[in-house]
Amino acid sequence: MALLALNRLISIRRERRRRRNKARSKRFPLGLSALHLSEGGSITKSVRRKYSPCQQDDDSQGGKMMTNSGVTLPEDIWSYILSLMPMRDAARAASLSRAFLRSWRCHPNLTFNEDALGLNDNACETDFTSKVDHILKNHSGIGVKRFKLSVHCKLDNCDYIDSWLQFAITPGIEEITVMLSGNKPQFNFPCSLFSDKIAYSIRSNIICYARSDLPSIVPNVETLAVASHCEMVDTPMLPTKLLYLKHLTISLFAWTFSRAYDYFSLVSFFDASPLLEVFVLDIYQESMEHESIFESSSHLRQMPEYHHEHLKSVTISGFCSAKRLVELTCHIVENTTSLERLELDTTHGNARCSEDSSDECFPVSQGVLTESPRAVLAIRGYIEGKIPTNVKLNVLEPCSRCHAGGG
Amino acid sequence: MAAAAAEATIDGGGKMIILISADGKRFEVTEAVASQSQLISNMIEDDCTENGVRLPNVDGDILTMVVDYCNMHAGDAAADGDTTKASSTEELKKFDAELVQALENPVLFKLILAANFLNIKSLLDMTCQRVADMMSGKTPEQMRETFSIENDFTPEEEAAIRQENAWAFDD
Repeated sequence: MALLALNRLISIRRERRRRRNKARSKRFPLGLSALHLSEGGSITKSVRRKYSPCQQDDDSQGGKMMTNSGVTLPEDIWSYILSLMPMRDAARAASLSRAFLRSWRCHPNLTFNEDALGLNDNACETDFTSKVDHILKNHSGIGVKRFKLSVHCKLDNCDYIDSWLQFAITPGIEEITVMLSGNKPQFNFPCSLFSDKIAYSIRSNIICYARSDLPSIVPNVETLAVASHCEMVDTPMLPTKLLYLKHLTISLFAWTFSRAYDYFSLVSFFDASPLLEVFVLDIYQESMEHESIFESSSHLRQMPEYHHEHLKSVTISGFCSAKRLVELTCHIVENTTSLERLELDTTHGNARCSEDSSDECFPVSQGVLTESPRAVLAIRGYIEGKIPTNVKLNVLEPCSRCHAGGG
Repeated sequence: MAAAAAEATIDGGGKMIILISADGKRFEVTEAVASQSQLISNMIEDDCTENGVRLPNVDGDILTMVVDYCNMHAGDAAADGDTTKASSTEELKKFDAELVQALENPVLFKLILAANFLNIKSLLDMTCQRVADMMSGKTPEQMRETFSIENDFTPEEEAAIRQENAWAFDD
């Protein structure tokens, strides 16, 4: 229920991938140089034969082998197949043969959640951590591309997570997902044993951490999604850059983020990411507790010296009348020459009204029903007039049939 | 005369390529269709296809499937805009599903090997995924039996590996 921290970091190193693809385009998909057919169901030693396109060999060896009924796949292909299987199945397959065991030791997709580990709902922290530790201990550490950690049970000790992340963060990693969710809104990591930076990031202020530390850790990141359940400090303006960042998603969960949090400080990310094309801001809050633009002076802060020349698409979900959010939006509209579309969703994105009138709308919270009209008013009053004609503005609001659900 | 056929063109002006299977069957396909194979695409680039492309590792039955697949998917490769036959996404999905669903060993493995040899990534992905799906949910014994995988462990070694991955066995 209470999703307390979600930190998704996708690091796709473009240059490396491009080089790899280029190198591969003249080769065989799995690095194989020959076709292997053999009888008896055993994986044969690969006969590596450089296949030169212009020297086609005319011997009928291939045809002769084809008549055998037993066809086996070479180890590279089995490795690839193993990588397509759920982790538990791949782990079982490790006991098939030595070749399968070798593949398992380099399994590229590590997914740790209760399901994947075969834990039931009553599993405790130790069950989870000991299984993850055990699996990582037996993994070679080579070849990991995707690392997903999703913990639903309460974790009191986060030096585990620290060591797991250190295992995962290698030059070959393409995607890291960490989701920590407990059953208490008050999530307290006693992180004294934890290395300062990561503890800090998991516990709180992850957006600030992302802005401060990721430029040196993953300078080539293209897609970045950061979710914070506890953001007590504003995002600093810094000289460091994320030069390859194209897609940025920031999620704020309101039950803990500071009422003083300044949305406007997110401009720092635009400044750091000159190639940013898509920006998504998701704000989840039960009731709007920031200072509304209607309750304060209408003077809006501006940073006209910051221009954004690649940002094309901006989506703000959970848009409200918070003055600092209006300031951020006005800044985007006024300083982004490349902007093509702006979507302001005042419903949290979960109240997509059904077009078919026979269906009921998804229930929205009382807080959204109260704040949404004010948010729309803020858009009409402060933002709409500043939008250039070539920018498509899409405002989403609950329809007249939307009703309060639960709260 | 093979050369003449290989140089033949169809109405659209696309050059035709002759593919020759291990058992001597000949398939005439457009360049656009054949180019879905990275191997053949490279050969076309290198001008190695005049006398037809002999595929000593792919027999006729398998090549028939590969050519069907490539014909069906020729519209996908919008790269050079040569959409001789653009199939709808729905149609393609149905075709792909039916193609792999129907296959069992050893034909499925032969198709994987052909897709790998010819370097047709989408076909390789699809067929490997089919094997992955067939492996999933099975015990090691069932996996071995289904795919004729030889066990080269000693009983002790196998027991040790099973013990190590015991978490993957209990339900």
